[in-house]
Amino acid sequence: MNWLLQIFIWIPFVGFVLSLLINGKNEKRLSLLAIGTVGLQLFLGFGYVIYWVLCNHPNVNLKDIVIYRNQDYEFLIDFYFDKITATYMLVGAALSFMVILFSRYYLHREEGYKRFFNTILFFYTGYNITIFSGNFETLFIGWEILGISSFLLIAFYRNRFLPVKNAMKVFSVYRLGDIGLILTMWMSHHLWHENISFMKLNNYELVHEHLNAHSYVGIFISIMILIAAAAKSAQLPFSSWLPRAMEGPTPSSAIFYGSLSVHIGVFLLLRTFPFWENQTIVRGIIILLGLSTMFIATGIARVQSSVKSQIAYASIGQIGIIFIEVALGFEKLALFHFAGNAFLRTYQLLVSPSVVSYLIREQFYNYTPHKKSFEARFPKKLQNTLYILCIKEWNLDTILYNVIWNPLKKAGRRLTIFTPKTIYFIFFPSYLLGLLGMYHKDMIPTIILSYLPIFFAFTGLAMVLQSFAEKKSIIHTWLLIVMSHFWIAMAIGYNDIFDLSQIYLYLSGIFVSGVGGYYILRRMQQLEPDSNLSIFHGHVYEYPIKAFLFLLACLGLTGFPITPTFIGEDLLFSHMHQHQILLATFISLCFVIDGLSIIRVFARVFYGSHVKTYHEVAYRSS
Amino acid sequence: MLLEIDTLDERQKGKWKPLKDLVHSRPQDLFEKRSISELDKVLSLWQQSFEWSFYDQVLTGIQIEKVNIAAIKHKSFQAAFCIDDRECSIRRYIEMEDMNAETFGTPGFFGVEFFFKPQGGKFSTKVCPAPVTPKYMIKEIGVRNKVETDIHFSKHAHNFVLGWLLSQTIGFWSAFKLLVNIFKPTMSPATASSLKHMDKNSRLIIENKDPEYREDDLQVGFTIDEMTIRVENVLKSIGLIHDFAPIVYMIGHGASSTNNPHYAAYDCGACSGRAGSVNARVFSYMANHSQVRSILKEKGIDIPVHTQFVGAIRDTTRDEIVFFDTEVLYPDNASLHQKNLLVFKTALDKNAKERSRRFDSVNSKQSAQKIHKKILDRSVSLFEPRPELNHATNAMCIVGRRALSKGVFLDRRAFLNSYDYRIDPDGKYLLNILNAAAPVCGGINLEYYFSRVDNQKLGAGTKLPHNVMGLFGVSNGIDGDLRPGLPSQMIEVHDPIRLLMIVEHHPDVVLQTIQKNPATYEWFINEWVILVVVEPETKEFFLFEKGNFRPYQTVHKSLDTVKNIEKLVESHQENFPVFLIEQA
Repeated sequence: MNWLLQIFIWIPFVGFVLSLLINGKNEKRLSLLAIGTVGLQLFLGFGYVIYWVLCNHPNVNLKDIVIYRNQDYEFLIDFYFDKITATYMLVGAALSFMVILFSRYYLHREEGYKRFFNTILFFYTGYNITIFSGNFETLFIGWEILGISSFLLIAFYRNRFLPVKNAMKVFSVYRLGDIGLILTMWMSHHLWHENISFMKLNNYELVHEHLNAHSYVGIFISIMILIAAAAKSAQLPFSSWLPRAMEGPTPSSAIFYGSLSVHIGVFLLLRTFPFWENQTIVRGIIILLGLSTMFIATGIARVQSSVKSQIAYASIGQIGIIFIEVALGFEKLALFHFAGNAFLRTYQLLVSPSVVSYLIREQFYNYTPHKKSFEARFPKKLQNTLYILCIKEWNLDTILYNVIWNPLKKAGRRLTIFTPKTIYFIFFPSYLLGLLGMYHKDMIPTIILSYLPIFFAFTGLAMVLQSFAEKKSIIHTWLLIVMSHFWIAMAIGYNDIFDLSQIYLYLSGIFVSGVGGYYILRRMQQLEPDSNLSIFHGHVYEYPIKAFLFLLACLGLTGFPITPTFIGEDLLFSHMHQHQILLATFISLCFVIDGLSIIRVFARVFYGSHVKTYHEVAYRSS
Repeated sequence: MLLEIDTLDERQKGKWKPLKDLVHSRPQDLFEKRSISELDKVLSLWQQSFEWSFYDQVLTGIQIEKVNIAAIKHKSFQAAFCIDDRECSIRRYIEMEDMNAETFGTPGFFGVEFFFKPQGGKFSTKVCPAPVTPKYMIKEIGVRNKVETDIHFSKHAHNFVLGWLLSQTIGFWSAFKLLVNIFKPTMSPATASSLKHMDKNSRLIIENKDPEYREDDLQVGFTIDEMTIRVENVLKSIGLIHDFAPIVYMIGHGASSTNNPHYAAYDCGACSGRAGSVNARVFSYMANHSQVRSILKEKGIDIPVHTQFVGAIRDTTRDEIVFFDTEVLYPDNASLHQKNLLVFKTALDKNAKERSRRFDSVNSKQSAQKIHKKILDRSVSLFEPRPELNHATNAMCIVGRRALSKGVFLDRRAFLNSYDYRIDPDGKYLLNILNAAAPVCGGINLEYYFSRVDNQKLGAGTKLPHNVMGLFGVSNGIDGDLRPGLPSQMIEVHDPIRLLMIVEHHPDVVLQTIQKNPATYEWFINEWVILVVVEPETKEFFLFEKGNFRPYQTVHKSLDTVKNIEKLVESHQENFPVFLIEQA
């Protein structure tokens, strides 16, 4: 029965790959494939759950494929199935099935029909990998797929400015969540000395024993998990991304941002519950977070002027309650609540265009002057303050910008040390020197040796920061991003004594995607010499194939699970020691900004309003 | 302004100068007269050749078609529809199904202007052309109007306490509802339907016996004199003053759609974007009134005693007709009505089939009945962004006798307004017709025109990501601008050409008539619509240009003939050229 689990990953994956091969003009075949894929999953899922219940619903673990192994490290794909997975699978398959049936007609004749179904199946693959995952590594694969497919779905109308801008915004919040997860993986590797499976987290004695010895590590991991979960589930302070994600066609907003994607944070909490169950302080923090989100999101939902943002904030409020339920240990209630909320919000979003005819008719017959809300008891000044705050979504959107992204941009703008000249004459030679030194560490004094990793990591970070703020040369930016990876790799190379082939495993994917991306950008520069990074160019309109290939290169460079770099990334972290908080901060910060910087290059070159206006072009603000 | 200054003060800490200090040269005058460049001339030439390659076919068709309407001796029934271009094909099918039937077209408010207050309504709705401000109210009584409710639209679900309860109860119910709607679409409280406008079984207060009976500062109902004037005006303007059939149907129209914020654009433009059911009923009541008839008789309109008027509503999306107050019919007429129902049914099926050729997802080669079933599903499907195509492809407006265009196949592209120049030698009724037709039909035409030429800037773009703002507009996402114009789903099959208005009368009368009202004249002199006059006796054409009429000779000398329209409809999706219909 264990081996059956992998079927639920293979079905959506095969469906996704097949959907890429179908001609975009053949609407019927595309939609039937998508319906068949999800329908089969739903059907088999039901069968499996019945069988599983009859077998007294055991917790099933499938230690599937060991992808990489050396003496003290193992990267394996692991699947797991219990009632949490069962609920998420059935709700996900049922909703996706209905929404795909719905979209089959709804998207008829829409440009990008194929792209829509590709992305939905891609998303659905990621969703299933996430919910079936048996360890953090597997979960992270699904997590990354969810992130990138969300970006593609929000920017579905890729030749308008706002969808692209908002897709970038959402992606940047997701990226913060990714860091939570990367650091979780790093720390838990040190805590358990293995890639812990979720199955083992259920073992109370094991967890208790480890946590007793390292209580701060436990809290650190739990907080990182919470950050990842809060970012994905749009809890405070990240809430403002959810309504902004409603840029794609209504059915995709309904299923992803109304229901599935936004409840993945809840899933993460449920999954890791045995780990932080006995950390009272963590449970307290989660309850506080849920409570404050609940109140604030409800307040915002009540005053928003558009139907989709009302539903989005109402959903966030409910998820806040689900967080509380999880923290209080009401697992079954939380699962039930998740399913109900997912169905309700999907339906509400799908019928949201009807709200005009319905509410106008209702007001026509049942109009009563507005009743006083309970805030009427507050002093006038407080009432007004609350009202304005809720209208402005408690400034959550600007706060996130001012606190996190703007300082980074500013720092990047100050950095101008990396010019083509300095790179050729200083940084490239010094990198070669460093490489030489890596093989002859015995020749370097130990005191210098101990500071070198930090220094190299900082250089890498500085490069990424500058690339993040660069406005002019596209190719220069791209090279900065690629080089930063090499500096990070060297920092790790100096940090620990290990087989350096692991470094090459990491760099192999970087190298291939870096060179591939470089060639596409150079070709684009020849075709469109005026391109730079200060505005969006929308070149996907004329060069869709180049855009797709460049997207692949970008994914490879961000450590997406299509190249060995993905495993290498995890490996690198395993060579950072538990106490090296500064190094870990530098490197993880580097990964966050690196992802953003790459997507920024992609979006600026290929997405947004097309610079050529020989065809219909929408206003920037529309 | 004060707020802006406040913000500037705060941001700039008091150190800012007025903008005018930064402006050194005189800015360009926004309303400056623009010189016409060579490019403009080329573009305008292309536009005109695009338009005239179609216009010329229409005019040729009108010139060479020969239909003798006087041949109908015993009229089985008469039916008046709205001038709407969507009624163009249904009228053709009715006339083909029953050779003795006669149809008319007139603005769908049927000359009666009022506010309508349904039973239980807290407000009243205007049902007449938008520029008119009525002094009357029609009240609905006698039914307990049940407004169906749907908790999914309630804002209570946004509250965390109720939201908690609702999501764990209604939440599961909504999954079931969604499933049902996907496999078997049905009417729901969310559907905007033409029949919900007024209850079929209600009574209306139409006659006013006491001028003191007022509500909301409006007179409830019309007095006998007021009724007579309105009935006379409509009958004279459509040229129906003798040869009445036993039953005269007055058929208004409305539409049904679900999940469609633009639903009002699908209803009757002459009723301010509502269904025309109340107007049809009110007019029929007036024309059936014995006192009204006796005054009309004095004025020369002798409606026979056995002739009865019946109000009805046609749903343009569903291709259904609902008749009102049929219980007042005399037994003879009632049995005639039963016979006519069959004619309507076949005509509606065939009309559904003709409409279906534009829909990719319906196979137009199937039988008319089968297609009609699919068309019914479309109107209530949550996932159907094109329940109908509305006014798309509209291109002309013909003001004249039916004989002028009865033998021409116009592919549902014509607004048809019945008008008999013989009754109106000095253009009195023509002025009224043009006062309504130019802005209504021309306005619709230009709305489609502009939405089509640049759907992103002048239209609303695709409707799929639209987000409803405050029940009055749509935008993309939550921070986009409000989108004006029509969404791409409504205009994608439309050819952007201006409206060709064809009037059957003597050119000198028309010239005098259009000059009487400056607001109407504007439409013609600025060429927002193209005006062509047909000289009734000789069928010569005169084109209105720069304030005068000049003769126009068609380039085409003949047109292809079509015999089997059903076969033609099955052939392809694109616009057809103009055909002559072979008379059986």
